[in-house]
Amino acid sequence: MNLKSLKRKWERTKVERRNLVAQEVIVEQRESWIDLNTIQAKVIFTIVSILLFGAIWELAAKLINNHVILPTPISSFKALYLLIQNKIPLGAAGVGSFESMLLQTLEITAIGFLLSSAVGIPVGYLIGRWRAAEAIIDPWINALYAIPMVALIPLLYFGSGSLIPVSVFDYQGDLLPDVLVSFIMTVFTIIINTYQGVRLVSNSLVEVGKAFGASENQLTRHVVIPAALPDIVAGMRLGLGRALLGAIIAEALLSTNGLGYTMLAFQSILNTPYMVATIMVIAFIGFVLLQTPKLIERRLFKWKETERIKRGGNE
Amino acid sequence: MSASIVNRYRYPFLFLTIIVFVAVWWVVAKIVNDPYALAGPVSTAKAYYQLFAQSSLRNLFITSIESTLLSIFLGFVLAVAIGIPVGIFMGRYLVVDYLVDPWINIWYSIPAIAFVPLVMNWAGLTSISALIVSFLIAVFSIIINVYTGVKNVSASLVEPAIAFGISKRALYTKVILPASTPNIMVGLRLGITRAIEGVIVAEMVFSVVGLGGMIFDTADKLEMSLTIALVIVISLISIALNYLMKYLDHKVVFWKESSALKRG
Amino acid sequence: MALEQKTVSTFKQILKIEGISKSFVKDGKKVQVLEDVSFEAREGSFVSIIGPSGCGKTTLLRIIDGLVKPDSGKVLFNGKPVTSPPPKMGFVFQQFGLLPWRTVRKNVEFGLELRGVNPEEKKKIAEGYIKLVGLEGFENHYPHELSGGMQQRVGLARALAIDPDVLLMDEPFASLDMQTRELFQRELLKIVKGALPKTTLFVTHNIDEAIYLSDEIVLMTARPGKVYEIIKVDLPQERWKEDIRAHPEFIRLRQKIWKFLESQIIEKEMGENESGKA
Repeated sequence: MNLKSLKRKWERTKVERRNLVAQEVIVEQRESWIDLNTIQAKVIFTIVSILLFGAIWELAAKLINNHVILPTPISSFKALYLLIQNKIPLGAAGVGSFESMLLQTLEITAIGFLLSSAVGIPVGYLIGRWRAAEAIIDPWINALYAIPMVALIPLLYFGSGSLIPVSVFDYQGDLLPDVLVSFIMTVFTIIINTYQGVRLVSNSLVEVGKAFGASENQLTRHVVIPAALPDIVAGMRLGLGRALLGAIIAEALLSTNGLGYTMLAFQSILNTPYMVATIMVIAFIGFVLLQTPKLIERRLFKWKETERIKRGGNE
Repeated sequence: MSASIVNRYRYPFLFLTIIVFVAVWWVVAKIVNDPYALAGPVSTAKAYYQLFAQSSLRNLFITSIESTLLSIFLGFVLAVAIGIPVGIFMGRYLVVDYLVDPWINIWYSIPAIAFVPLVMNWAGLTSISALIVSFLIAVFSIIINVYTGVKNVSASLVEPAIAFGISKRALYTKVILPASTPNIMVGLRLGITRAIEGVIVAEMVFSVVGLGGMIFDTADKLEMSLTIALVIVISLISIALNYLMKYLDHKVVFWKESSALKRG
Repeated sequence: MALEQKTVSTFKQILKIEGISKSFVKDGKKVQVLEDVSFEAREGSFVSIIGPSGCGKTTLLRIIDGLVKPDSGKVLFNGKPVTSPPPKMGFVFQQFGLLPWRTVRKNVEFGLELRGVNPEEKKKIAEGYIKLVGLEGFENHYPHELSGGMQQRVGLARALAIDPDVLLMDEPFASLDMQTRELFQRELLKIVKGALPKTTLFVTHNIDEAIYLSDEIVLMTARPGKVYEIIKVDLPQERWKEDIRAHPEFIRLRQKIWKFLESQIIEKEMGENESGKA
């Protein structure tokens, strides 16, 4: 694409945006907003944006001139390359191989997530359908949402040794507390979103079902679950992010392996390039875990006009 | 479904559920019968007495709360001060939108704790670090919601304003900004919740400052009743802040049924 | 009556629409919405634009107000071409378009506020118009506390408050129920043909409404919208005074317009089916 035509397209989109309205009001016109020109321009801008970010980073690093506080992007990417090659710097105590830390984080995330879904969706569904008690369930839900579950970690960890005999699970004993942390950070997100989805299934839909003589079972299968599904799935997506956050926090606080631990281990030897590299790996996993389901959701729930950006990522 | 007895007498019943909760806690603690695994409500009550009676503990408790609240608030206020203008800027200028948009989703997907070690390098194991974490977490919630709000203001509000010959500046101050307040409030509500969580995580990692540090420290010493007492304190603070934000939301956006919040 | 004189004796063309064409791009395809639309409006007259849905009448109204730019053709308002919303045009929207965080009074004041009218005068003017549309006592209510009919009264008061020469109305009663609608039609006529004479351009798809209100009806074809015929409505003025809907001329016009619209709708459906097959 030559620069001139790009500039022309850019000018056009700019004018379009400036007349925000007039252009936007009419439905036909609004569609034209996302035409090919804009998408092409968008790709170019994404590339420019990435380069610009890199340049700013490089410049800032050069200005600060202290690789402990901010390493240059090049040294960080170099560290990332070496990290993936399993070239761990000396002194980083107990840092395992790249595969092992990646696998551990993913394992904790996966198990935490699956466990939370298995528990959270039925629980959220049941309390969502239990209209008779919503006045007292609501405040509890609000409270559970507000409470920082991370505060429970020390209780779980230092307590769980005697509370839950590890042998009961017969699962790699040392990961149990991590999985529990990931679970507890995730399960309420899934409960709450399921609960809200079920609660918000419009009464008129349920009434239509009843008018056609649907039994409670049929109502569940054909009306409530399909109608609440977008919210349940959105909750699961958020849950995926939470599970990852839980895994990283658990590793950082309790474990001796995994990306969470590694990140802090590099911090403690003040090897910031490696630390930033580890953070980049975590960011990448987070990005993939949160963005991929979005694409699937868009295809799955075309019938529902969902807001394009579901707020409430995984921070 | 008709309004049930429970819904009609919500407060007595709510109170009842709290009593039931404490009772179950008491019974479970009795059955477990291991103060290191689960301290019961009675020993937790004693821990509160300790917290206030022992002067050294009391001083630590007060400085911890101070430091935690300060980190949360200052970080959050800073995030509001920066997040709202940036969000508006992004929603308003196509150039800024195109340049920043690719990063928003990426930053937003990063688990908050990933910021912690970086911040530790900048400001050490201090409450300043916790403040920076609070800021970094809240600011993205705010930016992304303000941005979405500004970008998606209904044409049915913008068009009449244009028809009445509104200036570009007035369009923002009189129409787009007020119309985005529901989104802005959603951003603030999500932001504060996450900021609290982020500060607690950071403090637990540092384990020397704030309530998070104190929670971690007491648990490490296996003083579980103290840990539970502190967890309850931070939970109550969180719940109170959440209700405060909810109240503000209803005050500011009185003209609109607040839409269901997606909770992450 | 001096007002009557104004509508009858002057034949000044306040609005001139000349050869308006407009197309949009939809799903990468160009859709011609309006094709060579021309008509005029005398000062003080009530002109309705009626046509099957999708004939671009709403777009046409927006072009007249300068909200949307036409591909070709022009709109002359008092002899001057319209390029952006003129201060002397008021617009009433189908979706009311009230600012939900403003009270009724503040909404009515909106146009005046943008024109920099001082607060006291603003308040006085707004209260006058609120009274005119029958919303006295609701000044401090918020839109969500009002019914659809009342919200549209606010919309009308807001448009009138800037003292426009031309009032543009885009299916303003479409979302109101039947009774509210008829009541509102009568009151509208009382205002624009009586108390506050205005030239009014009124978009609707309701035949009775168009005949009842108008001096002239611009009949438009299905997409692309073209002017098929301009019908003079030869019914007495001050129509709110009698049951005009039983008038033989009213019935004749209703049949005539319905026949045309029916043919247009059938044609359009057939066309769509065929293109669906192809």
